[in-house]
Formats: sequence, structure tokens, C-alpha cells
Amino acid sequence: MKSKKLENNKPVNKKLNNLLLQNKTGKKKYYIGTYALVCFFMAVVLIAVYIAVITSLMTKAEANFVEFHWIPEQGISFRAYIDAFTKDYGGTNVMIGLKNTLIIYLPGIIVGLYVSAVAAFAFAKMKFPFKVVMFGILMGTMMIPQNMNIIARVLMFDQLDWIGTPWPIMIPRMLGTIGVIYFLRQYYMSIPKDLIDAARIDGLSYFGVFNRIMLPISVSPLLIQFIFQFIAGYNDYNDPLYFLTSNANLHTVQLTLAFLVDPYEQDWPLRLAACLASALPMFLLYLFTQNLMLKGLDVSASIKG
Amino acid sequence: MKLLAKAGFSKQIFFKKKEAVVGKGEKIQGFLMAVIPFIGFLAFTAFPLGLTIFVSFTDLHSYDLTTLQWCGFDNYIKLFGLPMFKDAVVNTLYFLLSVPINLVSQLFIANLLNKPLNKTFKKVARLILYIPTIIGGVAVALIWNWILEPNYGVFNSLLSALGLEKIGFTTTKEWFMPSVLIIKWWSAGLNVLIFQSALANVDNSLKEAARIDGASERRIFFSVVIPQISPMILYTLMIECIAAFQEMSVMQIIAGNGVGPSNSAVTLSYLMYRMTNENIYTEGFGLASALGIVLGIVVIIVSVTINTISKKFVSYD
Repeated sequence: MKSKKLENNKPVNKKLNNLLLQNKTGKKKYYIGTYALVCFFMAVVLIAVYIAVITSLMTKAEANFVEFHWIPEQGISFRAYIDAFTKDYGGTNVMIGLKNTLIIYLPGIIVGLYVSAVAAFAFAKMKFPFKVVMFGILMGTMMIPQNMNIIARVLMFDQLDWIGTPWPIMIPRMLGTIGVIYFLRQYYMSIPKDLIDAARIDGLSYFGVFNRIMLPISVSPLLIQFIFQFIAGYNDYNDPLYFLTSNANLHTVQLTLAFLVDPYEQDWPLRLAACLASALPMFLLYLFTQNLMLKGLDVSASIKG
Repeated sequence: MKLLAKAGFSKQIFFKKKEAVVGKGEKIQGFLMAVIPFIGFLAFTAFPLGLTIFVSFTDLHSYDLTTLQWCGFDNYIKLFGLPMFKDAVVNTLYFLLSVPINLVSQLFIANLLNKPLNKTFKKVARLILYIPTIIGGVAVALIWNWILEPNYGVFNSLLSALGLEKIGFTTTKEWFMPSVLIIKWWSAGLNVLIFQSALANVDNSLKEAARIDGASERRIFFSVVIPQISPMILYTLMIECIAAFQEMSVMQIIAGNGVGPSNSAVTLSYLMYRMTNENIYTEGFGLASALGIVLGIVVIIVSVTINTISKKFVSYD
């Protein structure tokens, strides 16, 4: 019976295959147009990056006071990079900015990631009062623009004497991030409940289950979220602008870049050197974690899709 | 089985016992584990929101909250009469154009990269097209500020080499916003990673079926692929709209920390910043809070609208 059916199917399959092959061979495509278009867009990126690199290596006189040269005519100098890292620009420079960004954002992101993961586990696998209400409200806040209540936050943090300190940026991040909770909740929901039940019967508390079992198996999604959070924190401009502008010693990288725009003395090589130097750590991070990040994007695409 | 039953060990009782162990303390522990982010929400979102609403009905010109005076809807009336508010609304709406422009070009490039190209080429292309996103908003704005610089910038050097007149990209009203849109396109529009994996997840058999039925590639893209990834598109649309309503950094950097040529760098968010930092004694916190409320209401209306549309028209199959 079975073999007959297969035999019956064969000619149909062959026909279909032929049809598909014809379609493919009949209009054989080399995708030259596609290659050309992709190359064009790559060129758009690379030319701008080249301009930034080459200008950062020019002398100040060449960059500021003559028409742009695609190849520096007065020779290459690393003066701008040295200045960006060592000189004092109103109490800050790229080096101090990098240090401040790490000091201010890393603790907030790491603690916040843990807190978010704990909450995500509870939302995914446990039953407790107000669960639906709490989760619904937290999801709803994703639609509230951050700038809506920024004035009140400034007033509130001023009452606490927190303006000009790292706390207004650090503390709220330590209490968890809604996007992360949502992402990790999706992940924990896919884990079988039997695993938790078994550990519970063996005497672990729910918190113990999370620390001993859930945390080790969710290292990869946590790492993905950490990278995305870190990139977002590194490029954050709004929070430092409101909370840290008054204290030059705590200016983050982004604030340092923004305030290098000195209206009296334009120094383009310096500005571009600072831009590239500040982007380099992120570029290296992306280079080394590219596969992980693509995986993270894959997962979030399938969640949202 | 009978023996077990005699010993009082029926299946039901066993499961009840298991439930008793497994579910013990679940309610309290679960609540405690989930409550910290909720406390964060109450302290740093809900409370400031309430305070914003309250302050928006008062007159407050200093950080000292004891000096505030109740003034009803005065701030809202004053806000809608403010000339700079009109500029800010126009500029913010103008800037919103960047959302569809970037979305379409992201989809276009992602679709190009999903064709059967050489694998190494694809990998390099993805790496390079992600660079603008890595560089980050402020640095991108500074790099383009140099490219568009009015005196000796790259574009103007090219123009003068061709014998054309130089253009004040960042110093004239007509060119300011187009320059901002170009910068935003370069930094966000080329980021194709978001859509690429969504496009790669589209069921190939559907495309094959359409192809056998004789559909053109364009028709397949618009009638098969786009509906499949529509939830992703609308989600991105919503997030990008919310972000675009709050943009101020690009304009501020290329305008050199000010209002720009005839107020063209003033967006709603920058106006709020300006009221509380530079014009604290003339405009003050009350007016800025009222602006925050207006901004928030507009954004919430937009995102709820997009959400409703997505529930009505988008296929979640």
C-alpha cells in the first residue's frame, strides 16, 4: 500500500520539481542589481566614516580654514586624539567621559537585569495576587514617553539633592526595565513547569529555583539583553543632560561630545577624533558579540511577529 | 493499584500532596519577586506623572516647591499662545517624516539582503550597515555637522569645486530640517537588522506557492511578505514615533546648542528643556509641565491609534 502511494506521488513531484527548476533556470538571476544597490548603501556609510577618520587626522589649520581635502596635504597628526583623551575641556574629556559612563551605567544595568529577570520569572511561571494588573500596568508604561514627566523628575530629584550625582540615572535602572521583563518573560514561559516542580519538591524556594536553575539556563538571553541595554545606556543623552550637566566631573561620553562644541574655537579634528574614540568601544563590542546580537534580534523579531 | 488504594495512596491524594509542596508560599514569594519593578514604576513614573499634572496647574519659577501658586488652566492657555510653541509643533511634525522614510528604506535594504547573495558579502554588508547605529546619536550628528558645515565642510567644498554657490545647510531655515532628516536617515535608516530576521522568518512555501501561481516578485513582496511581517512593522512604527516625538539631540548638536536658524531647531522636547534651564524665571516649571502633559497626551493618542489599527488589520497568523 505504502509503496504504491509513493510511486503515485513520484511523477507529480518530478513535474513540480521540473516546474520549479524551469522557473529558476529559465530566468537565471545573478542579482547584479541587488549587489550594486547594497554596495551603494555600504558606500554611503563608509564614505561618511572615511571623512570622519581623515578629518580627525588632519591638522587644525587644514581642516578649519581651507576647502576639504580627501587626502590630507599637510600630513597626518594624532594631535586631536591625544588632546581628546588628555586635555581638560571644562573638567572633562573623552577618557573621563568613558570612565563616568561605565561607573554610572554598569551597576544600574547589571542590578536592573537581575531584578528584571526575577520579576520576569515570577510573571511567567507563578500565580500571585495582582499579577495581571501589575503586568498590564508595566506594559502600558512602554507607551508613556520618557520626556512627559521629566520636569517633575527634575523637581523630585532636586528635593532629594540628587541632581549632579549618579543616583537619578542609577537607581531607576536598578529597579528593572520593562522591555527586559517582557523579553525574558517570553523566554521563561517556554521552559517546562515540571523543572520548577521537581526542584520545589526537592525543597528549594521559588527564589532558590530562580537562582539555582533559571539563572544558569538563561545566561544567553540575559547576555543579549545586557548588550542592548549597555548600548542604549552608552548612547543615552537625555538623562545625563537633565541630571548631570551641572557637574562636569560626572559628564558621560555623550555629554562630553555634546559640550566639545565650543562656539568660540571650532576644532573639527578634535570633535571628530572624540566621536570616533567614543564609538570604538561600542564597535569592538558589536564585532565580538555580533552573532549573539543577531540571535537576540531574531528572537525579538519572532516575539513581536 | 488496589493495594496502593488500600494503603490510602490514591492518585488524587498524591497530586494534592505534590500541589501542597509545590504551591507552598507561591503567592507571597511571587508577589515579592515581581513587586520591585512595580515599586520602580510607582516611584519614578507614576509619582512624577502625578506631580507633572499637579505642577502644570500652578505657577512655579524656582526649585523651591513652597513658592508655587495655584493658577488653574493659565499655563495651558499661555502655552497655546506661545509663538515658539507653534514653531516647536511644526518642527516636531516635520521631523516625524523621518519615521516613514527610515522605515521604508530599512524594509527596502533588508529585502535586498534577504535575496540569495554571497554569504560573506551579506555578513560584511550587515556589519557595515550597522555602524551608524553603533556610533550613536550625538557622534553621528557631529560627524554630519562637519560634512554639512557651511564654510569648509565636505559638501560645500564639493559644491565650490563644481563652481556652485555654497549652501548653509545648518544655518538657513530651508535647509535645516532636510539636513536633520538626512542625518537621521543615515543613522537609523540603514539599520536593517530589525527587519532582516523578520523577513528571513517568512514562510518560504507561501512565496513558492505564489510564484507557481505566476505572481511577480513585486506582487509577492507586497501581497505575501508584507502582511506576514506587518505586526513587526507596526511595532517598530510605534516605537519610532514615540522616539521621534521626543527627539532633540540631533537638532541641538547641529544648531550649536541653541534655537537654530529662525527657531528651526526647536522641538517640543527642546522647548521643555529650555523653559526649565534657560528661561526658568520667565516661563518656569508650570508651563514646562503643561507642555509635558500635552506632549504625553499626543504621543499616547498616536500609539493607541497604531495599536488599534494593528489589532484590526494586521494578520497574526
